Amino acid sequence: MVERPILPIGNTYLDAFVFLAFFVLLFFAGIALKNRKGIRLRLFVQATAFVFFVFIVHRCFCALRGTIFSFQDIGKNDLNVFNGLFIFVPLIAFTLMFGRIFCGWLCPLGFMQEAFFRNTFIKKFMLDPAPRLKWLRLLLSAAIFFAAIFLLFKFRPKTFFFVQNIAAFWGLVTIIFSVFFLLNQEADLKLKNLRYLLLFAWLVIITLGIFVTDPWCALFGNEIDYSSFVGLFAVLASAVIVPMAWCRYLCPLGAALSLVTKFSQVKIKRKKDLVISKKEARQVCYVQALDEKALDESSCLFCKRCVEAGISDIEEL
Amino acid sequence: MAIRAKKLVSVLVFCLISLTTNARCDDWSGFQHDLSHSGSSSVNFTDKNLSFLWSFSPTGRTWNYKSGSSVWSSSVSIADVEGKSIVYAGFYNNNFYAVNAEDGSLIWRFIGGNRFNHAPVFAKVNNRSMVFVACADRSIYCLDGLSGEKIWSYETLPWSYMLSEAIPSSPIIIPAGKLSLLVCAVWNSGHAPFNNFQKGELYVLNAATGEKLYSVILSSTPLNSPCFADINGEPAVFISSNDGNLVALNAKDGKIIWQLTLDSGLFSSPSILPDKQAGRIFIGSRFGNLYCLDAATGKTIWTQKTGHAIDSTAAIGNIGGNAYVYIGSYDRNIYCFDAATGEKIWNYKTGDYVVSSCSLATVAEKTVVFAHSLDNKLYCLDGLTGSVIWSFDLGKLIWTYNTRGDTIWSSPAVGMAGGKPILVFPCYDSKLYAFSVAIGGSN
Repeated sequence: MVERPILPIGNTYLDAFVFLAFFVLLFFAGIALKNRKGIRLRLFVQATAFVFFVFIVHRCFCALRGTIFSFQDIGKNDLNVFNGLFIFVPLIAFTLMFGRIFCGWLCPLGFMQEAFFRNTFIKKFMLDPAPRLKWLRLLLSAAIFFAAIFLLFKFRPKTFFFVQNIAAFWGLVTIIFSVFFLLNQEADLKLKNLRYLLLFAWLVIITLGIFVTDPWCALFGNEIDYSSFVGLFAVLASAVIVPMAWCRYLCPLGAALSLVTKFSQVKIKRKKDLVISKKEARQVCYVQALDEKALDESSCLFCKRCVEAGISDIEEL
Repeated sequence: MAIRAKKLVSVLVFCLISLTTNARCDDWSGFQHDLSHSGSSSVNFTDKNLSFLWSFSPTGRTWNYKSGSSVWSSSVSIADVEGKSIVYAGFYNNNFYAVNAEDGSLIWRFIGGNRFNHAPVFAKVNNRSMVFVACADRSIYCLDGLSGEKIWSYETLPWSYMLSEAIPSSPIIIPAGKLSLLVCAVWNSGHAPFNNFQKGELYVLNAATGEKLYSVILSSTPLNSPCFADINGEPAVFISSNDGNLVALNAKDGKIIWQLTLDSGLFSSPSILPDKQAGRIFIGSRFGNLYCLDAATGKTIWTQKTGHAIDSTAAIGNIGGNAYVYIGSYDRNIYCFDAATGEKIWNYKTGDYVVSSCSLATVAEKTVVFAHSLDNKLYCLDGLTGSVIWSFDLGKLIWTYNTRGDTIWSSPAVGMAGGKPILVFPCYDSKLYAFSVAIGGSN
């Protein structure tokens, strides 16, 4: 919808409006985090960010790739450097203040995955422990996996097959991780820890100068890139089987921010003496950061559902 | 009959533009054929089946090429120089070559201080055949078209340890009364820690002597190749920059007539469809939009969205009295749009990104589009329907990976070699390939 910059920075295509909107939404999310009506405000911020970035601006932040490419451009293309770092710096600053507020409140891909969970029928299908439904979920995972493989081969580029399909492979790994989770739900934490390894691999690939697309590029990055589309399909389909599988196990930006969130000033703390059932914990927390007794800070998306349910409190250091 | 007459008129218009550079109308004098970047040649291949004519491989090291940094060789210029058909091409190996267009033999070479990434331009200035080329060594060279002797060179910035390689554009030669002006953009950057700079500057030089008439700093990012047209009787130069700006300048003094910031970075050069008033400008953006703008005011006439970024420069052809715009996109398609309305006429999906620009010529009485895709094929498509007439497999890329958007890819050029039409494509296997109609064919 925006055909040219609304507030061009120094006669360039760089649009200060996007940066301002990003900054304002993060700031608003940070304020709303401590508000009593935080959950409703969160939905408002999520929906606004989704409409704004997907439909109005339709540009990717490139928070990780853009940042690394920007460092390589210092002294060569200061405009690119500014563009790349202007997103990354406030993102880190806000994460240091409010934790993974970007993941939980702004990310359009997270919002889309979460939307599945809001559907009662899908939510029941995801959480029902009945063996019959478990096998159905596994069968569905296999169908999604083979559908993604089919799409990958149907649209494969003729050159650089592995390099150009990284987004699709990342999507396939999401499905594989989802299957592991379905087979053994106790493996959730181990699978979550693997995201740091995948983040490292991601950073190595980008540092080598390889132009990696992500599943979200197809969503709001103007990337009609088949690999990105296949990745997006795999990520969204996996979200129907395992709640927010991408955010839990693979998102490289989420993994990077979860490292930073350990130092955040605002934290969500589990009430120490309160013990809840496993089922209750899973129904409250989409990403399974919550269990019977503890809360995994690095997985927490600051959605505040556990605060609303009286399981946790917001603490400010 | 009426269609033929219109066709004749359109050919004459393109010839007229070419003639302003004192080049023959079937010469491919510079980047995208002429001053308006139409990419449209009057050359007629009488048989649709082209066969391989010759290839030219430069001497020197081939292993020092860095993928992602530049092309293997620039787009070429094809010219008739005092009865001799010559192909001019710069290469990554710091050499600029003049090759016999009839058999691919080397005529002369000129060694620069760095790579020759961009297309040269050929022109007759003061009755002397000259070829002009900008080099990544920050200099613009003027060479004798026949002997390769250096006539003059202009260094845009004196050398220092803190300077990076320059990114020049393809130059153009424009008429200005008795003078011929060379218009060329050069991006220079210095990486001194506390005094780093980046400047994209447009230089206007006297083509005969190399004397600088004026220069204008337009951007901190690299500038693309300029094109030229008359706006309401005033000579105007149009140039785009990577920071998303399209600028129209008065060619006489470099004053900005209008400036437009488009949606995203511009890596595509503008093309102009001249008409009686001012003409229309076509340019693609990194956001995937193809813009049609009024050349006099810069106002948008229409836009069309492709599926991905556009780095390719639009080619403009006239078929049956209608003007069409041909452009490639990173969405792997080659598009044809109606120049007047912006309506999509056809698109042809290739196997990979289409980054280089299309060229137009006539093959067996049909206007065809020659286009290169990174699926390693050179295509010949029917200009009206987009159906494939033939495709030529160029072989696999030599290096392992190319970063999307960072590499410039050569575009095919069409010209005459000893009375025979030829298609020349500078390929990433470090060779120039030439094709023509088969011997014994109907040509």
